[in-house]
Amino acid sequence: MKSTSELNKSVLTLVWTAEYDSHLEAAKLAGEDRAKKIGFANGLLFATGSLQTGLTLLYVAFKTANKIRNEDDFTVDSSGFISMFVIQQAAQALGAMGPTIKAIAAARAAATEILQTIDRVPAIDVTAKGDELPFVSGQITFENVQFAYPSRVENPIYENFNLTVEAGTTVALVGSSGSGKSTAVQLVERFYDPDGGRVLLDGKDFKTLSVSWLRKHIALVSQEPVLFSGTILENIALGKQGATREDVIAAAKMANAHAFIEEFDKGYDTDVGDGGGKLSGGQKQRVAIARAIIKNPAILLLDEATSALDNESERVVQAALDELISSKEQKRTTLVIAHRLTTIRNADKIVVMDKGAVVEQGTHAELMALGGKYVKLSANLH
Amino acid sequence: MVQVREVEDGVSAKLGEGAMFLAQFVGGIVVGFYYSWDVALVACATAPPCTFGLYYLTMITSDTAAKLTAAYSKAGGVASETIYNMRTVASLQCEDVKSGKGP
Repeated sequence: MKSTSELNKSVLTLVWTAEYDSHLEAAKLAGEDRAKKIGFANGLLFATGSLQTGLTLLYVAFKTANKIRNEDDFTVDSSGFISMFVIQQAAQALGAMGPTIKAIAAARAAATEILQTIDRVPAIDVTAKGDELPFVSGQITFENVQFAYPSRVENPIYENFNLTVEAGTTVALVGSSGSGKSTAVQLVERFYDPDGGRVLLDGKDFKTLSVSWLRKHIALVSQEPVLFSGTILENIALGKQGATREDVIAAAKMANAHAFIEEFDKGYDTDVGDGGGKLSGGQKQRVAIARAIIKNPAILLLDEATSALDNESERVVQAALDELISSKEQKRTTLVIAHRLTTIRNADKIVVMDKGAVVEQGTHAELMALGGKYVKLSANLH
Repeated sequence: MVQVREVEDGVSAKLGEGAMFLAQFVGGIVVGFYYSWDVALVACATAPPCTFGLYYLTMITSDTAAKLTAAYSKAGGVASETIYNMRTVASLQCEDVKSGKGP
């Protein structure tokens, strides 16, 4: 019987041979081609060099012969040979400059590109000064908003989008993909500015507000949570500048994450691994939620926060979210993007979107009674 | 980043080489005409093929080296892809197919 390692070896050999060999064949051909071309080029170099030497020597010979014949002068003049050899060197140096000039030209072009990127001033400048409101109640209004992503200008998302999210309420956006529900979140976070119309916070245009101040009051939990390498504590503390250990633990408790974090050997000092690789999807999402609510935002954005999770994790995360949204002492505006309608039944207002416009809005009961698009959507999903 | 590498390539050894070749070229012409202007003139008349000879050699050397590296990296890609995904390859039993010995 073969040992495991022997078996592995034979399998590897089998797999390798053909595809590997076919690529090696290409490499062999490339090598042969290289050898032929370099051989030819070397031949050419020596041939042209010899040609030059030969022709020049012929001239020197005639010149010397003439001197002997006409002037009877037999002294040997070496200056002709010096000239011949240095000119040859000069000619070859000129040839060798080809790749150098090419490389310098390429470097110039590349440097232009780099400098353009460095010098680019973003349309939305985080460092720019702007207005700050003394108090945020959290009313968001989209007013005749027109918008298309800069990379897809020919494909507008909103042509005339109007929506008001009252302060302290939970509003859910539903609709098929491409209906523009996620774009609303992008505009509220001010990752983009609308092409036309306005987005207002408590009646003030977003564009007049300081971006960094605005983002301090908004928290986003997205579909694929991104954790950074470091401990759980460090990840949650990223949400708020100067967060203490107590703040982190309080946030984790609110996000339903405290229990599982305590189960780790190192608790809050557990390393999350590269990109949070040591945590499960549901755990990562709860850490992301804790990170979002540690700053106690006036506006909470949930962009399909549970859609990438399995059923069990979704239930746990959803429970954490429900508790956050419904907690009475902490009224905040919550904008939920949902693809599963069961998760948003309790929202104060459900907005059904299609092709960048609002088609229906109301509570779950109202929309069910209406018997329109919402009913169709929920039927499709069951 | 590709651009950064291109800039580095252009301003490191290549820039020095360029200065050296330029000095060699200008110096050669000056010295050549200083010692014997008529021989230098004859040598210059027959110089262009010589220039082309070295230009061709340096171009071909870097060109084919790049092609060779690309060809070898393809083979290396197959090898590492297969090894990293040994379990998938084994479970699909596509060793023979991959090696061209099967159907």
